[in-house]
This record gives sequence, structure tokens and C-alpha cells, in this order.
Amino acid sequence: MRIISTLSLAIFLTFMSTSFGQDEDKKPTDPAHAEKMAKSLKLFKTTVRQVLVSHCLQCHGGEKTESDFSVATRKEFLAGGVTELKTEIGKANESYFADLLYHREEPAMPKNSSKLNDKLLGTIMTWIDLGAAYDRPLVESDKEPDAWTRRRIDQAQKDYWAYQPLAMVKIRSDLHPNPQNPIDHFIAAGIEESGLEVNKKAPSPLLVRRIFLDMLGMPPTSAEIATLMDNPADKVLSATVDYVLSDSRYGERWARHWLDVARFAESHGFEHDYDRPHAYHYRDFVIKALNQDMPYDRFTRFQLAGDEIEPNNPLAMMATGFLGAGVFPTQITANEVEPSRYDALDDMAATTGTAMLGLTIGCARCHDHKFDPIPSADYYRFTSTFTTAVRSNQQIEMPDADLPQRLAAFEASHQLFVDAVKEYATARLLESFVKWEASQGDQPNYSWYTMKFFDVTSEKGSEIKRLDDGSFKVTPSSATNQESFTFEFHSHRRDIRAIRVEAFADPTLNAGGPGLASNGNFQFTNLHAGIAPLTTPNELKDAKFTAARATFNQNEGLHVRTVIDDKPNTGWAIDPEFGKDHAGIFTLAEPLDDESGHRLRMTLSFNGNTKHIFGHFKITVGANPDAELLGPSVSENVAAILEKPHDARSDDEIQLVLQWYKFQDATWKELDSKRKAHLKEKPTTNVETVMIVSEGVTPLRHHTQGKDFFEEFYFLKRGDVRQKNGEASQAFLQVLSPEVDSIDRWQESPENSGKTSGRRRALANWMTDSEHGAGNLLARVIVNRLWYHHFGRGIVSSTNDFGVQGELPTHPALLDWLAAQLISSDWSLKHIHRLILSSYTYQQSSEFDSKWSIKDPQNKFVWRFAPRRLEAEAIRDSILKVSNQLDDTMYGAGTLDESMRRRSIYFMIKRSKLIPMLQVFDSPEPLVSQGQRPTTTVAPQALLLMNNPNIRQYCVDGAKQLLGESSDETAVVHELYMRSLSREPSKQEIQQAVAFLSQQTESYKSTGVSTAEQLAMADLIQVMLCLNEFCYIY
Amino acid sequence: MNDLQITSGLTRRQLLQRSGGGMGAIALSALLAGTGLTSSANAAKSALASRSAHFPSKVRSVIWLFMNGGPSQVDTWDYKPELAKHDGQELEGFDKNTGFFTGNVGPIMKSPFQFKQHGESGTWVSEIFPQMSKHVDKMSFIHSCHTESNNHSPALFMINTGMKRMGFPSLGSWVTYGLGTENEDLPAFVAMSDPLNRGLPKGYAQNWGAGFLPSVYQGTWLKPNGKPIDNLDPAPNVNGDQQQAMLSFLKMLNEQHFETRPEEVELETRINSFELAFRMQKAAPEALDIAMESQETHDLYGVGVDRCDHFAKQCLMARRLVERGTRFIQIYSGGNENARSWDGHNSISKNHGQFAGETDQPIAALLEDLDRRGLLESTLVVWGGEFGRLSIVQKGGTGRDHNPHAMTYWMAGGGVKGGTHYGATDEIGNVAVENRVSVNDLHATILHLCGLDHQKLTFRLNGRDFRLTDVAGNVVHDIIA
Repeated sequence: MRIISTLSLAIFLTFMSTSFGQDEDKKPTDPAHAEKMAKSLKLFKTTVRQVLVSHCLQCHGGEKTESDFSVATRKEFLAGGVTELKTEIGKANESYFADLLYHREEPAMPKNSSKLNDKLLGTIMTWIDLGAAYDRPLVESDKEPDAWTRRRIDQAQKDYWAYQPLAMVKIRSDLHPNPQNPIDHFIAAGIEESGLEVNKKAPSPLLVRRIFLDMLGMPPTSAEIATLMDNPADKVLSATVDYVLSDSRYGERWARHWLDVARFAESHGFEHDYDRPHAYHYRDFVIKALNQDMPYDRFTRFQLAGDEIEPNNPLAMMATGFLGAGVFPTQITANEVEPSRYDALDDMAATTGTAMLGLTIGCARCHDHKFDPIPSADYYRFTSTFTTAVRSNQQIEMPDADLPQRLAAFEASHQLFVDAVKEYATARLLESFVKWEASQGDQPNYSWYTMKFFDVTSEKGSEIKRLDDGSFKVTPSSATNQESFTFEFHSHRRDIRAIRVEAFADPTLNAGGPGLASNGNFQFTNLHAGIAPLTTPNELKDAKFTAARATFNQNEGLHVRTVIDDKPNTGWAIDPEFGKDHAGIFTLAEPLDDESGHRLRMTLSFNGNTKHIFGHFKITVGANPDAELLGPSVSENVAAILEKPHDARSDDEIQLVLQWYKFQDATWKELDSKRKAHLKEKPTTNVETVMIVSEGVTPLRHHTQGKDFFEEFYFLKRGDVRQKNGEASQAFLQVLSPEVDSIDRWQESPENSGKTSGRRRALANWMTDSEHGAGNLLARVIVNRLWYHHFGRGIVSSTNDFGVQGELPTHPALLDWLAAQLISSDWSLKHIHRLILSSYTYQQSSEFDSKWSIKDPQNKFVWRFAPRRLEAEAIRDSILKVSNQLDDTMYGAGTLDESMRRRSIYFMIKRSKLIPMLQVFDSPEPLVSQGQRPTTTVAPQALLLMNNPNIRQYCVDGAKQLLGESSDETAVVHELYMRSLSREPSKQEIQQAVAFLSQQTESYKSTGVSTAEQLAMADLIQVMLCLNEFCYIY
Repeated sequence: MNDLQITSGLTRRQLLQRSGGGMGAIALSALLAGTGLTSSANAAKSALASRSAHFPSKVRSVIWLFMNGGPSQVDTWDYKPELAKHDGQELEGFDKNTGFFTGNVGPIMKSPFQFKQHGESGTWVSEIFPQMSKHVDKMSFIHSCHTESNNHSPALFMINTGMKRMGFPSLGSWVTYGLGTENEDLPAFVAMSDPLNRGLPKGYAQNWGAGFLPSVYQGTWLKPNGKPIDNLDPAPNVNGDQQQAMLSFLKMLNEQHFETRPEEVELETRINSFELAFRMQKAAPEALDIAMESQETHDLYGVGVDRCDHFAKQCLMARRLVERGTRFIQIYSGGNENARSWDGHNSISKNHGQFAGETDQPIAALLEDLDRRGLLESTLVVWGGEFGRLSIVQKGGTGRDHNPHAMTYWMAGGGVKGGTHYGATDEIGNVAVENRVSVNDLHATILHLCGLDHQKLTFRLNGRDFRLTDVAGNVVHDIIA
């Protein structure tokens, strides 16, 4: 003891002499004086500073200095200000200061407030008499404006329990009457000390229900109850615990708790509240991580720096959504650019601090933390971690472990389709062709010819591909909305009098095409053809057209005629005849009839609206401008072969003909389309757009009159961007670091091409380091959150604040034991759940006892399992479950549609459009981290359960099913009780329910409703859902 | 652990709350009932139950007439003869980043409107308010208000929540948190937006959101189309008798259950909430049904007059709600921005002419109607927007750009000194210079008028006691009667 106190005294004295020499007493220090000063300093830190700051400082040394009296420094305090009524050490009670505080003189202090209580006043007087020690001034001095950026904490401030290593306390194991695991010993110690007694154990059926509601967020089905209760009596509960811990509904239930803490939402907030459509992956990450029992340290590391730690792991990338889940304005004027960025970084730092460490780091943005040992300097150095981190949408290949198997299975089944086509083509196609040709007689049914194709170029870079049937398919360039294509063709046919352009419907295009516009339209604005005989191919002459006709013209202004007028921007369009084949025929002024053949250089232009371009089309020529618009065509080569006598055709020529003919053959076409349809089912790698937070990536761009982020990060005096006090380099919280200013221990050399700074990985290393960094506190905070959700009250009841202003732990040894359990189980959260669920403490009855309630009304010592209302999501999910209307599809984009029947966690969270049904039951606004939810009981909740159309619909649909399963009312009532309350109804309850059903049925019948029984049953279901017994966990 | 350490972390305020004294105690214990079914009698009180203020106040209700988009002070209530004299001159030293359109800075522009003096107070009023000008002696003007953003949404958040950033509780939520409501059959805090399909104010429901306060304190937005409040009507094929039968059956089962756990008072509160809900089904539509009002009243407000019918109906609903004990009502004039609201970038005369026409008669009627029914002294009526407008023209038109440095607010009724003027802008009305009143000051004053001390009305979140006025705010005592 002596050694320790001397040591702390030495630290104290060093501190006094180096930092605040001007306040130092000049007198030589005798041991008694030093001891007094040490005691005085302790009082200052535990009590007096708080009093001075909250009651005196504002008017005396803070915002103003009334009567020239300041309490900001020891010197000023003792000097007494304008009254010159000094306060003398050792004579505190005689001072003017004491007169005012004790209300012996006017003006009584604190002003406009009642007298401080006597105990507090006594402490202040003792503090003065012991030497009125200060550890540091209460406000800045003006001499060194940036002194604050170098502020050190007093090492003694690390003594606060939350910053200490985990304490392994031996506890008595003989106090609990019926312990089931060590938790019960810890609890028994508190119960004993407070003169309470543990409650009896709750009956198993009730516990099954409690565990389901708590762990899965919905009651068990009657089948689940039956299966679990079928175990030997002593195994029922352990079987139930095993069951819920391996059920994926656990992840959906408990992810919601973490999402509150992570202030998760899927929109930017502010003026436009634009959606973040790719943000839901973070929610899916949390669900998946919990279900696979991802070690909590890894869970934490991924959220802070998954992109730096495992950039190739999709889960790690999804996890970074944590940092980016906060609000950010979408319209930022020049004046607001910098402050907005500092706000965004503050959101990341403050949420990280609160969610992971239960530390209110954000409070130190404008001044040193008022209560906790977090100087503003620490805030800036900590926050600098995120300087270049931005939100970004990235394409990420999602995990798909069984893709190879699925691909192999597909290939096998697809081969059957390929073979069918091939087999038909080799064995039957020729036969079919011969029949067809015979049926044609002398006049072939085609009058259009595809020419010999050489080349096509696109002016704006769209991709254009020629298909087997001679048509062209366009993939537009994203950079352009207009386009023109230039083709090189040769034709060897004589007597060409028309050019036909066909535009095809195509299921891959918007609205089925034929255009690329969003509605499927096109606007063909110009057709140009330069023509030359092949003997003089370079002497191209512009072809003239005399007429044009088409399958359909949108109107006179968008008539096919306008393609061949001289106006570059007028053209042919076909709204609303989308999803159909179209064709235009353009009559040449002079026929092409040179025996050497012709070169045709043709340009098709599309100068109209956005992407009004052909998506799939074909160009043919023919001798008859009046021929059928959509009639078939044939290539010139094939036509030449067809025109030959049958026996003059070579085998190769016949193959060539068949290549053309197959597209006319109904059976081949059917087989081939089946093959194509099946091909669409080919499993592909699942690439999704994910909103991540990273560095060196393209930030999500807002309407910002300036930069999205800055490379540098500064110390800001009072949080004001106009008062920069130098650049802040990265460091973590002094109170949770062994070395001052050094973070070497946690830094790693960058390996991933230097895209990111490595700062967040260093933070993640520090955060999860339980030897030197913040790991112990990280563990304490999360096991406390788990405890809170299991019991409705944390061991530290202020779950988001483990600082001095927060509540002290009711069971510090238990908290540390659980934290140590977490760390030693490789940070397994499921291990902690299992410990808690298996404890007698958790399995206690919720029965009330006024004897104990008087001693411990808040149940701090857990003498019973305190009943509590379910949260919004659990109420809604349970309603869906009980009415048998739950769609249990997991993961993926959410919706704002309130009639959705998936679990509530799959509602999209849009900040301006929160789901009213959840809000009314106290789901929080996702703006800052929320560790606890209030439970209010107000009329709109009752109105919702009574009248909401969705809830009513669930009940009506549930009634239909129930009545379909059984017509025995007693059996139905029984089933309904099991489903909703997890217990059998009493005889009286059955009678009451049956009577209610018949009364309601009669009533509906009397109003002429044909589905009276159904509505009555719906009424009964709805009443069950409104019951207190349904909405509370007991 | 000694006693000293236990008290060390507590402020006096917290001690008060924990020892069961003061307003905070009730609110807090009601809110923290979530930590289990406590058996304390306080916990059974609804979070909306009426509570006494920090000190006596006449005000039972507040109606905030919100001129969305930023009404121009110099074209409404802040008469500046010098403005006309300098018309067309460049404004020297003007920082072009003051407004939103930094490239459209024009010269000083006089008001397109004529001003006349009215009332015993001789208050100068723009000709666009012929009806409201009759009530100037009921109004107390603050000409020196200023705010912190030149952008709609941060400025809206500032004026509504005291913070430019998003996510803080609105004034209405704080007042409701502090005082509860007089009538739990009706929503405690009501927000009404533009019913003419011109949109919501920027930032949407955040403007009447409860932020981190429990969601019971958020404003109930009356939907401008269809049923104004959700879940008030039973399912279409369930009639009143059938619903009554359900509720009776529910009550019977709930009471059978409650008998086995008589100490859990929260269960009883919840049983009662169904009866309250049943009453609300009738009470809320009745309160909003202006058809119950006389033709004379309709005519007074301008119901049926094309120009102002929509706003007249909203003002009349506000009066009916106030009469029935609703605590806080906010009515937005105008929708999203630009021509859809008071955001007169292009033409002050056209824009303000139109919106004044929409609101003048209804507001005047509201003041008169409250007065003749004896409700004005218990109702605080507040008029103003999110910022003012510049004294210079926005180049390219005859409108004015945003101006955070000057705006006029007036209040009437509820304990304010009528016919008075506080603070002043410079000679051309561009910057508040005398007795400047920040948004925090304005909020502190409104809370004070409601009997609430803005420094004591706090909510603990993540280690900090949050206030509407953050770390600032001075009550403007000069306007208080």
C-alpha cells in the first residue's frame, strides 16, 4: 500500500511541477502536505471538478468571468476575484466563497439554483482545506493556442474500472441453492449481499417459449414444442438451447439488435434522402456473421477495415458498410463542404466509439471530454483514422461454394439440348429441305437477299455483331445516346430496285425492342448509300430514293419517309408498336444492274432521342419494292445455289444451303429455341453491387460544391473548421494505450498495392488487442449487450456508456468473467449465449415478490426474470408466424411495402420513410447509435393492432388456413393457443373462445356476410395477438 | 464504495431526476419502464400523460405557422425605407457565398410592395397582408433573428431542431416530451404539410421527427390526401358492435391474465390503452371535421375561397385541435422549394404575392377566432420560416436568394407582449445587427413561454445530456408580457 501511494504521489508531484508550475506552492513540501494534496486531488477528480464545472464555471472563468472571479485554475480560485476575498487553505469555512455557497450571504450561489447539498459542500470545504488541488485548469489558457492538441491524460485516470484489465475474482460457490453454471454463483453473491433470495425455476414449457422469443424473435410452433418436450425432462432445455443456436432465425433476430447500435439505414438522409440501394449487404453481413458464429473480434475487424484485412472476402467487404451507414447531406453548398466532411468523419468515429467500446468519444469534438479521460486531442487523432475513407459502390463476386457442382450439373443437362439440335440437323434437316423445296415450285417464297458482308463501323463506339442469320445485334456504348453505323457490302445480284431494313423484336431489349430506347422505340433518322460497280469500286455515287413504306409509322412527323428526306434529325419511329418486327422498304431511283456486281457503302444514322437506336436489325436488297415487308430473305450465295439444278449442287453447297434453310425449318427452330432457353439457366458467378467503405475508390458523388473528401485532417479548435491547429496524425485513446502517442505496435506494412492507408487496419488491431489495446473493453461491452438483451437490463445498465457518466456495473466480477469467457472461447458469442441460457439465473421464474421488490425494485440483482414487452420487429414477426403468413426468405434487398410478409429486418430502412408499424412500437430513428430502446405504451399501438389493414389481412388469411385444417372448434382453439401462447388453453378459455366464435359468427351472419365463420376466426386470432400474454416475454 | 463516489457522477439535475423530484422524474421513469415492469406507480403513467411545467405558464398549446422556403423580411414585416433609396446600387463588401446561387449576385432591390402603418403600435406592414395587418397589436416581432445555413434542409433542421445536422428532436417533440399532452385521445403533436401536391419541406418528416427522443414524441403527420391518420378505422367488414365485442373479449382475457400478476402495473396501462384507442377512433376524426363549424366561421377563415381554401381548412383544424388539448401544431405553408414555396428566387412580387394570398386571411381569422373564444392567451402562435432573403436581387429575375443573416419572426398570444418590436436589421434589412436573436435564443424563448427551462429540459443519450438549445440560448425576456 505504502509503495503504491508514494508512487502515485510522485506522479502527482511531477505533474504539478511540470505542467502548472505557476500554481505550485513555493513552500518546501513536507510529507504531510504532499499527502494532503494527494487526498485533495482525489476529491477534486471524483467530485469537486464536476461541481465546479456544472455549477460555477459557466459564469466564473468559462463563458464569462463575473466579478473577475474564476474557478478555472487553482491560482485564480484561491485569489477570489474582484472582492479580493481570498480563500485560505485550512480556513475554507470562513471564506466568502463558503458564505455564498452556504447561502449565508447574498448573492447566494450557485445562482438561480437551489443550495448544493450539505454533503457536497462538506466535500468542497475538505478539498480546499487539504490544499484545493487541481490536476489541470478547467479551461484553456490563451497563451499556447494549440497546447490542447498535445494534452496528456493523467495516468491515474486509467484507474477507472472500465479501463482496467479483466479482473479474475474468485467467488464463493456455496451460496446458490441450485447452481447450473458459474453465472449463478456471481448472481447469488449479489442476492445474498442485498438480502434477497433467488426465485424458483420457471416451468419448462414457459422456458421454451421464453428462449424462442428471446433468441429467435418469435414463438415456437406447436410442432416444435412437441418435439422439444418429447426429450427426457432433464434434457428439454439443453435441447432447446441447441435448437435455437443452430436456427438461422437467430441471426435475423440478433442482427437487429446490432443494427440499432450501428445506426444502420439505407438512405442518405437530409434534403433528398436518396436511397442507398446497395447498402443492405451490410445487414446481410451481420446476419451471416452471427449465424456462423463469426468470432466477435473478427466481426469487429471486418467492420472497421474488412477491405484492408481481407479484400477478397465478400463478407469482409460487406462489413465495411458499418462505417458508411450514417447520414450525409446530398446537397452541399461551398460553405458547407468542409464542415460536412468533418461531420461524416465524426459520425464514423463516434459510432465506432459508442458501438464497440461504449465510449462517448464524439463528446470530445469541441472540447476535452467533460467527464471521461478523452482529451479533444485524442478525438482528432482517433478520428484521423478515417480521413480518406469514403462510401463507394463496388462490384463484388459473392461467395458461391457449390457453383462448380451446379455448373457441371448444368453442362450435363444442357448437352441433351445441344445433341437434339445436332442430331436433327444431321439426320433430318436435309429431308425436310427437300420436301420444302419441292413445295416451292418455280417461285421461291423469298424476294430479299442478304449481301456479302465485309465490315461495319460504329461512329460512337457501340458494339455491333453479325449473327448467323445475317442480322446485326447492337450493344450500345454507355457514352452515347446517338449513333450511326457504316457497312461495306458487295452484291452480285442484278436488277436491285429496293433496299429493305428490318428491325426485330428481341426479348433481350427494353420492352422487347426493336429499339434500344427505354420504351423499346427507335428513331431511324437517315439512310445513306454510296454505290459503285465492282469494276470501279472507288467511284461511289450517292443513291437516290424515290419512295419509302413501312410496317407502321408512329405519326406523320415520324414517318418512314423522313428517313430519306434531307433533314438529318427527322426519322422513322414506331411507338407504341413495341415488341414486334418492323421493316421499311426504300425504293431506289435507279436499279443496280451492273453485271460485275456492286459495292454498297451504307450508313444508317440515329440522331434522335436517348438511345433511339436499332437493337437488332438486318439489311437486304431486292428487285421488287412492293414485295412483302416482312417476307423471308436469303443470302445471295444461297440464292445462287438454290437457282442451280439439284444435281449441280456440291455437298459443300448443300451444307451452305442447309445453314440457311434451318432458320426456315419449324422443327429445327423449335429445338434450337429450347436449347437457347435452357442456356439461360446456366449458373453464373453472382456479382453484386455492394456499398462499401474504402480508400482509393470512386466515392459516391453528391451535389457538392467542392470535394468529396480531403487528404488531410486537422485539429479543429472548438470543432470549427476555421480554427485549424495543425494536422492530426493517427493515434488511439491514451486511456487504452500503454505508450503515449505510439501506435507502432498495431501498424502493419501495407501489402495491397497501397490503395488504402492501413490506418483502419491499425485501428482494428488496437481495438481487438486484449493485451495492450482496447480488447478487454471491447469484450466487456459486447457481453454486456448480450446480457441486456437476454435480461432487459445490462450489468452496466447504460449499455452505450461505460464512461464515468455511465452506470457502474451491478456485477463487475461477472462482467469480467463473461468477457474473459468470450476471449478465451475465441470470441464466440454463441458460447456466451449458451452460458446465459443454461444458467439458473436465466431460467428463473418471472413471478413477482413484493418483499424483494421493495429492496430491489429495478431487479438489479436479478432475483427474478423481469418480464418485458417484445420489440417492434419481434411483435410483427410473431404475428406473421402465429397467423402462419410468414415468408421466411432470407437476405437480399428490402422493401418499403408494409404488406410485405418477410421478417421485419427485411424492411428497407429509408430515413424519411420509416415503417410506421415498427416506429409505433419504439423502433429507433437510425441517426446515432442506440444501445437501448424505450418501451412506451400508447394508444396508437392498440389502434395498429386493432385496425391496421395488413394485420387484419394476416388474421383473415390465417383464419382461412386454420378452418381449412380442421372444423373442430375446440381443436382449432387449442392449436391457436399453442401457436400464439405456447400453452394449452384451460377448459374455461376454450369455452370462452368457442362462445366468442359463435357470437361473432352470428353477428357477421346477421349483417349478411358470407364468410362469417372465417371473419369470426380472424377476430379470435386478432384478439390473441393483442393479448398482453402474447406481447410480453415472461 | 463510499457515498461520495456514488454522487460524483451526478449533476444536480440528475440527482433531482433520480430522487423523484421535478418533471424529469415522471418522464424518465415512464420512459425507462423498458427495463422491466417496474412496480412504481409512476411507471404506469403514459409517456404522453400531461405533466406540469418547470414554472407556471399560460401556454397550453403552440401553433407554428411555418412559411416554408424562407419568406423575405424586407417584403413582409421589416420595413426599410432606405432600401428603395439604394435600389439598383451594388451592395459593397457583399460576400457572394452568402446566398445559394453564388454566381447570381445583383444590386440592391427595393420591395415591390407598398407598406403602411397599422394598429395602435403603428407597425409597418406590407400590402400583401391586408388581413393580418389588423392584428399587429397582438403580435410581438423579432426582426433580428438569424440562422446558420444558406441551404434549405440544414436551415430547416436548424430552425426545427436547433442543429443543422440531421437527427435531432424537433421543438414540438421537446415540448411534448416536457409537457405531455392535455388530451391523450388525440395526437399530442401534429404536423400539416401542403395539400396541393407541392411536396414536403426539404428533409421531409425529419422536420417534425423525435430524433433520439422516444418515437411517441414525434409529430403525427396528417396526410394531406386520403385518411389523415393511419389505423383509425376498423377493417371494412367489421362494424362497431363486432369490434366492441372483440375489445370486450380481449379485455376479459387480459384481465384474467392480469389477475395472476396484479403487481405488473404496465399490463394494466396496456389494457387501458385499448380503451383509449377506441375513444381515439371517434375523437380524432371529430377533431379534424371542420364541417362541424358554422358557415360564419368558414367564411371568416376563407374556407371555400379558391386562393386560400387549403390553408384556411388547416388553420381551422388547428383551432379545433387546440380547443381539444393538442399540445403542438405545425402547419407548413408551401411545399418543397422554388415556386412551390416561399422560396422566391425569381420574382418576389409573384411568389410572395401568391403565398401571402394563400395565408393572410386564414391566419388573421385564426388569431381572431382564438381571441374571441378566449383561447389566444393559452395558445402561442408563431410565424416564420427557415431563413430570410437577401436585400439584393438575384440576377436574372426580380427575386431574392437565401439569407441566413436576417429574418423576422412574430409571436402572438400565449403570454407575449403584443404590438412590440425587438431587435433590428441594418438600414437595408440585410443583416440582423441590433439585439441579435439566434435560433437557440428563439427556441429558449418559446420553451420559456411554455413554462420550460431550456437548460433543464434534457435527455440523456450515449453519455450526454442533450438539450434543444445545445450549449447556447438566451431567453428574450423583452417580448414576454
